[in-house]
Amino acid sequence: MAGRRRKNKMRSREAATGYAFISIWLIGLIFLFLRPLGMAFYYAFQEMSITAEGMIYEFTGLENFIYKFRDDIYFFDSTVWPGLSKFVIEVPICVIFSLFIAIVLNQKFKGRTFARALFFLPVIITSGIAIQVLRSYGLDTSMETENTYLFSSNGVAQILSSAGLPYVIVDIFTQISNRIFDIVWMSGIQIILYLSGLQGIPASEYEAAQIEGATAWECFWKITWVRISPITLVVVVYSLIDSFTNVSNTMIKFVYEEYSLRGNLGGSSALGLSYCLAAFLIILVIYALTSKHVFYANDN
Amino acid sequence: MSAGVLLEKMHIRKDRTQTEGAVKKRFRKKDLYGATRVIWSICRFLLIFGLGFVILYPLLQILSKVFMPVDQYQDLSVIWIPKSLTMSNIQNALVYTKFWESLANTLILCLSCAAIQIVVCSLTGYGFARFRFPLREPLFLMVILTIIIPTQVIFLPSFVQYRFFDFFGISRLLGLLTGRDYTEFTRSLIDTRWSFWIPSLFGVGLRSGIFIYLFRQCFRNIPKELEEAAKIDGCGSITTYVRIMLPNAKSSILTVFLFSLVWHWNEYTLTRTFFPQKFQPLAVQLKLAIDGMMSDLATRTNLPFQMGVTYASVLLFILPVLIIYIFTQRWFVEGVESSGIKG
Repeated sequence: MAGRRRKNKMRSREAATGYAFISIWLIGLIFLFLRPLGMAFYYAFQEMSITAEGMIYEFTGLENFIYKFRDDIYFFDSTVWPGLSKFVIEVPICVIFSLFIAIVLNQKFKGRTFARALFFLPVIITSGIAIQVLRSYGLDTSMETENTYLFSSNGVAQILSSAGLPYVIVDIFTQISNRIFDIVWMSGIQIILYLSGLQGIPASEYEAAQIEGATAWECFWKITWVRISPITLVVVVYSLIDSFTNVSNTMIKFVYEEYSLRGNLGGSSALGLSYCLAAFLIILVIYALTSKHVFYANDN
Repeated sequence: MSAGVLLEKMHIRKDRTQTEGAVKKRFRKKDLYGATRVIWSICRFLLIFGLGFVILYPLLQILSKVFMPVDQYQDLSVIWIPKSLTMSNIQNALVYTKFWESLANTLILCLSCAAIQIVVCSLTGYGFARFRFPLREPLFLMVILTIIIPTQVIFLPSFVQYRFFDFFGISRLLGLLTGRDYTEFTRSLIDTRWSFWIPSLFGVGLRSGIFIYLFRQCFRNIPKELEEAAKIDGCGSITTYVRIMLPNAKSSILTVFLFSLVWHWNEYTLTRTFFPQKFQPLAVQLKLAIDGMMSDLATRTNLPFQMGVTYASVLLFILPVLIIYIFTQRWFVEGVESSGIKG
């Protein structure tokens, strides 16, 4: 009886210490994160106008959520869908690419440190204003628009299609090869994550497999792929978040411009929040689907 | 000679023939192995070289253009290597971006925020990693939520909040007590560095969620026995944290420091909004310089001039981080690998 009481006391003491450690963050969460979030929810249902006496709020119901879809019939096709579906092509390619590069960089060869430093370089500069500015100048002597790819492969595509390959395959190929710059520049963190994961796989497992006569191909699927699956989950989630919240995402751009250029605060909040919700649901579904196949070596 | 010795000799001979055969076989296999290895290392070299070129391409372009006189930009006979060198692009960029002033602003902002984030995020991460308390899982979900919600969505209300900062409700309370309008007691944090320091100080700064996550993973990997030993020696939880946990998390601290530095360095949307007039960092000045050139009558139509200044300013913008990276990349890579971000 006394022992249990002491245990209870210890536990409540532990809880108090835990709360003490996170208390600073908790204050910040409530006042500097949840409160603005709540305010964004409030704005979403209001029509706001700035007058001499300050802000005037007017309840408008769901108007802010639907006005854009009603006024601009191309809004969904031009902004929402590209923003939400960007990940369909990008994330799988990014995951495969970064795993491949991580495996290559994990091998022993001359100049490995240099190669690693090179591949992590995008982490330093990526998503920064620098690339955006360079892009708007096309990185070439001729002015180009922001959407031009830095490396395009029209010539290769022509050769492929004249070689008799079906259009679909050529299209997929050009989609990937046009994005090669973006993909390489996007994958910095993912490569680091995979590399740290690869180093955690015990070498003894590969040795055992080799004695049993497994080929490198089998080793990859039976050991590396299984062992690395927790990292794959992290990489997938990170890439998804990155693709949804990137400044170059059409929806994020729209949310930003809607209040900074057009001053529509309510509409920006409403569409931004619903976009976040949609993105969150997609992440949740993909997380649930992937986490089923994840293997944890020591389940703790 | 007894039969036993003879048998032994026979065995040895048998063994020898067997091993010879095996060596021959293995030798052939090794040969094949060696050949594939050479082919693979050539492929690997080509792959790394090609992708390395893709990564370095923008930097090489900039380097080639920066020291090139602008009248050679449209010269078709000049591709990568300029015919003559000039420093005028750099000089113009130094003026247009107010380089030294904005560099100082950037450095102060980045270093201070990184230091604050290390302290606060490691404390929070330690709390989540080692203590059991009610609502721990839902609260940790909140950490994830702060990562997922993009700043663009909540940053308008945050702007209003920082414009009329009420010190977590204290101003409102004072307003209620004294009967005056509470806005008298609020302060504007816009155009002060507090607009970055306060969120960093309370663990909701720029990508603080990721750092909390990172520290939590790192502390979880440190064996519990260390802490228990410290406890037996009579250390309180703060002493344990400072004396035992932090020294073991050195590589994570370095990683967080570098990431925080880099992300603050590259931040544009927030700095643009929170520093409309004063303390503008390089990222903002870079964009302002370009916008300024585009609207200025003297330079509006002079595209080569604009490009020269742009390339030079971008080079000036990334050069300091690049230098920091070159010196720290060894620790950076090791830090991420050893204790890093694990699932």
